[in-house]
Amino acid sequence: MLAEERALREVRHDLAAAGLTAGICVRDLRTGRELALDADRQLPLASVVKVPLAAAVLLRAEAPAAPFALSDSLTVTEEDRTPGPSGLSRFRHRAEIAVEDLLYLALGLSDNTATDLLFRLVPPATVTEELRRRGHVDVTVRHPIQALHDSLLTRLGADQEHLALALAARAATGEGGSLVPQLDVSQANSGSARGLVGLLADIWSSTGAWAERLRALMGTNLLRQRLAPDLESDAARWSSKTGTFLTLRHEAGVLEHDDGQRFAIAVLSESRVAATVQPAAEAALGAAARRLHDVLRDAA
Amino acid sequence: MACVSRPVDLLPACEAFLAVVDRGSFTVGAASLQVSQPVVSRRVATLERTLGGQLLQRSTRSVALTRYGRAVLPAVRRVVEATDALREQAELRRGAPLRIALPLELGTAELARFSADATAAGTDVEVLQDVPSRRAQLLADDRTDLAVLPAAADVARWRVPLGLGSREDGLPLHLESLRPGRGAGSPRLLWLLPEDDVTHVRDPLERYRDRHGLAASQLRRAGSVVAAVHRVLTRDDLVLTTRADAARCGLGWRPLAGLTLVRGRLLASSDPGRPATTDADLVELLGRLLTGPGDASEGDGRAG
Repeated sequence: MLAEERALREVRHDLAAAGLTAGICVRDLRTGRELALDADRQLPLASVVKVPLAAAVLLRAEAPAAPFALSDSLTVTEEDRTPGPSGLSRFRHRAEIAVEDLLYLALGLSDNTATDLLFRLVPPATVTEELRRRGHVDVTVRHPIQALHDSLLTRLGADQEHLALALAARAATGEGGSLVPQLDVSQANSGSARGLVGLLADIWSSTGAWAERLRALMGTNLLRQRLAPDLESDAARWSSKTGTFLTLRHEAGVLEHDDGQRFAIAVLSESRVAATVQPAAEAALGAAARRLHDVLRDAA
Repeated sequence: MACVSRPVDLLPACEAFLAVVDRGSFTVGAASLQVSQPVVSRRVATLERTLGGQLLQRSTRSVALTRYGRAVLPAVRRVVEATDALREQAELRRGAPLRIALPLELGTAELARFSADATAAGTDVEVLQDVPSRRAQLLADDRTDLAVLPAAADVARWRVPLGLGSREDGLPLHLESLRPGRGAGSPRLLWLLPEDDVTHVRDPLERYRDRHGLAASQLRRAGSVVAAVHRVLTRDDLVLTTRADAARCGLGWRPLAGLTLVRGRLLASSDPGRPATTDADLVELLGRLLTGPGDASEGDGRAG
């Protein structure tokens, strides 16, 4: 349709103006209708990987002969800590915490330490196995969060952040490859916008307790600076997970309207601007998601 | 005291008495009433008999009021003046058209057609056009006989769906797509016309606006239809209106999605004792006028 083509063209242009390239997929979960921009492009997932991980953990805990229960407690010490801005990564003392609460920290606060503790229960290869079992072939999990921290940024030191970002932005070797292993889709946790929307559709259509729990957990996401300001309102609930690493800015979630309409939205983006905090990029991504959502919603 | 036995005789008697007093003479008074002097004398005598007392002191040269005559004179004068007012009003309104206050959006051609059809159906009408609040005022002031007034959908006689007048026709539109982005320029506005600036339309719209993340300033009252259409044409804004009204303004129209708003109307009469539904032909003509050919409308409702 004309309106859809025009929207895609303008969104691509606006993102480019903000220094971004992105894969975007918006799907009406009732009708399956989709509006997509480079939606099959694979990108490293960054913290969005916490969604397939949580799905695998919940599915495993529900399985007969489950190797662990959600109420099992773990002790978190200094050695367990993965760097990160929130949650257990910021704890300064030993803590005892249940598996189900680790899930909350990983999804609600994007807690890296909680995430890597969960990866010890369900390793990356097992998460990928669960994904394949449910038919998701475009999302692949290969390593815990800790691996992201053996990156350029860690080696160069915090005062060299700008250099690390500038180098990362120029390290692309084409076809999703990169000189920075964490940015190379054949070595990193990776996925496409369409693949993530497929996973979200699965989570939002499944009647299992695991899916219900996961939908609620994604609703607790406290990081709402990217797409949420353009999507949520008193009449529309946004449940999602963000991912941010070096030049990557992602978010994937479901917008549930009061009238019952639901849209799965995944945005995976890469910036060529060498700055960590980019309000203009956040705003451009939010506006792009909003625009495609609106066109899809009104072209019913 | 004698009572007024035959009230039909009282009025000519009062007129005769007043004419004689005002002219100061039976002869001149009779001339002013275009009757003969003996007739006037007889009528004054009738009044004196009826009221049970002498009203005039007659002498050869002049006529003077008695004390009793002076006492009843103001009341007699009021009776005569009230009668004159009655005759005058009756003369004025006899054969005058039925006045009806209608919305501003209706065009000359369709109003002329409506008037012609009303005449053919046996009622001459005079059309007044104004905004809703002033139509109600005209009715309250008795300056119109009937008025078409806004009404909530459940009490309206006529209902027409409201949608969005826009540059082009299109599919149903969710107003939430007007939500402003971060750092975006000035957002599109939705204009509310005086005709729909009523609580049963404005309140749900404001509630929708606030629940869906639109800015408070995105819902605006338009001073006039022309001002609103101007903004649609120059700024790609939207105006809340019916399909037929959009066509009248040369605009496209899109139905509202996710929000049902109706322009409801009822027919109000200046006579509270008489519902404005007595003339079925006129009501039907009004219905046709108010629910244009492009409107998917509902016909006759309950209340009048």
